[in-house]
Amino acid sequence: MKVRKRMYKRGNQKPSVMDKSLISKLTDRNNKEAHLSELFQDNNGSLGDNIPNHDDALLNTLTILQQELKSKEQEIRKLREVIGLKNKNAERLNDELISGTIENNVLQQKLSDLKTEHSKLVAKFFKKTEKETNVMNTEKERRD
Amino acid sequence: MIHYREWQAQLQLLYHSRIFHDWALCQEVHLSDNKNALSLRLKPSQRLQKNTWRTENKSLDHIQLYLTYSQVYNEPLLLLRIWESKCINDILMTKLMFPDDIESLLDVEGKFQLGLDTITNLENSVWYSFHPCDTSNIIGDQIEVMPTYLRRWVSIFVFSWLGYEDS
Amino acid sequence: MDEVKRLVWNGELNVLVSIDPSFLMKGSPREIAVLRIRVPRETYLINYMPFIWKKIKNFLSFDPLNDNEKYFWFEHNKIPISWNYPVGVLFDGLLGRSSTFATTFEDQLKDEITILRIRLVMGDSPPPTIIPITISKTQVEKYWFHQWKQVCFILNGSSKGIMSLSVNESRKFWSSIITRNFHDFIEISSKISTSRPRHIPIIVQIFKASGISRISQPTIRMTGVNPTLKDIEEDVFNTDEGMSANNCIVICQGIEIPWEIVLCDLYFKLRSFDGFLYITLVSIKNNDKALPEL
Repeated sequence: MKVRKRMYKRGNQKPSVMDKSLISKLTDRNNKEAHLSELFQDNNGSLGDNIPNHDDALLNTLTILQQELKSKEQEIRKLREVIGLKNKNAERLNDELISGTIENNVLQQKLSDLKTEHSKLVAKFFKKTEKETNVMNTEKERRD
Repeated sequence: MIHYREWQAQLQLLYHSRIFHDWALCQEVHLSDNKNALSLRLKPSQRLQKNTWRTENKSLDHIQLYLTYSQVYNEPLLLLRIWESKCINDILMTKLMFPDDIESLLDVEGKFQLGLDTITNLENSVWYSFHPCDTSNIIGDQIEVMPTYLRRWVSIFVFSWLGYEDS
Repeated sequence: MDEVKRLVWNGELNVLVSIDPSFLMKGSPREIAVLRIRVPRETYLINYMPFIWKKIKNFLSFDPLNDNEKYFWFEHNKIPISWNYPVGVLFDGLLGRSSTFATTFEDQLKDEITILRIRLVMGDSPPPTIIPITISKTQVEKYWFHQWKQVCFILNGSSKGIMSLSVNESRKFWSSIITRNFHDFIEISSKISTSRPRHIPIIVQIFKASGISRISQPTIRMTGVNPTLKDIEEDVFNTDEGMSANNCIVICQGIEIPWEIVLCDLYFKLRSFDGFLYITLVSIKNNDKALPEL
């Protein structure tokens, strides 16, 4: 019952009052938002098909220049890629150089080790030969 | 159409049937905490991979599907995002892809209509949605086949264009 | 009622579009980077993309329409703007977000202007909440038509109304938006509507005092009685947000709406050109002091 009453009340709610209020608010809104609208006419109020015509020759030059810019930019992009690749190559070379140096160092070490061992062996050999010579000499002296 | 409660019940059945777990393309499947959505991460089928390479010159990383419910249409709703893998400054990254013609990329022209939309329930993120307005006609919602409504919906809206093979 | 609709339809905003310098060749004249346009509240921003491209075409440093590695979108104060809402709704939303955005009524008396300031920017990927603008000429029309399909479904429970439009009518419908033909728009949109809707298509943007905002699309069922906006309070607010009709004002089409308005009336009079009723809820800061009249 209560609900019905409410519905009835609403059904009879003077529509004009609410409408009037909406109309006045919307009118105010539109007026307010139109304030200084004359400064916002780049599109002449439409979706804008009327762009001023520039000099044709100038436009041609412009198109050519834009195309050139585009191709230059593509060139830059390509060159950047080349630089990237070269950088990578340089890096790889550098890596190889480093590993070469390390290998070299190791080999050097090995060489010097071998050299030491070699001279030790030679010294040992000389000592041995000296000893043998001495023995031979003493034996020879005794026989004589 | 399918009522929300009925849909929710069928969604759980579908999840527990392990049909997605056993799907060769499926990398991840997850039932959301409030049990009103299923999210899937799929590896792209070879055909899709090739299509993407041919039309977009891009390499597909994975496909994301989100199975949810449309309160507007009272139908299951399929959302989709596709990710490409891309090398940026030597770091491999994945990035959302927005191809010019998604329907032809997925090879679903004439079968489904897709459109980009922001999804309010998913933090307003952007997804492709499969327009669901014709769903009942496609699936058939006679009372005697209602218990398999979602199952049949999945066959048509998901498996028919992605292909189903056991893993 | 028609008078209200006409006023809604005729609403226009001063829009200042600045173009990010990254679009333009070095040395381009400065004035080219700023466009001052009048834009209807009842349209999409990206309907102006062709105009913008045309205007800056001669000064572009790259070809944005054929570069599929670049995305562009609009921003306001570094916040990305979704083009898929009507321009008026974007404006009301930005107004709700920050009171410094537009001049207040009193300021306006001091000869200030109300401007929607936006910036066209670009990047390698679009912000997560922005639908990428594609080169396709039909993108926006398709999106808009899909919105109407949803509206038709929400109102009538089927898409019959919209699907029974002839090809010519559909074309006329979209072209009424572009050419601003009020008569055509009303004629076709009323074919899709019903006088006794089952549900009301409504999209709500809420701005909390904390500065956080949220957009939702609640399902509003129309049962028996003619509910008022106040009656659907529970549907538009989340209970945990501590917001209610007592501490919020409703903005729709740039004007403050009383909570007692009959929902159906509000919908049919003030709905937007995509068929949805957009309302912006702004929590009243300083306790019971209402925001200045918009």
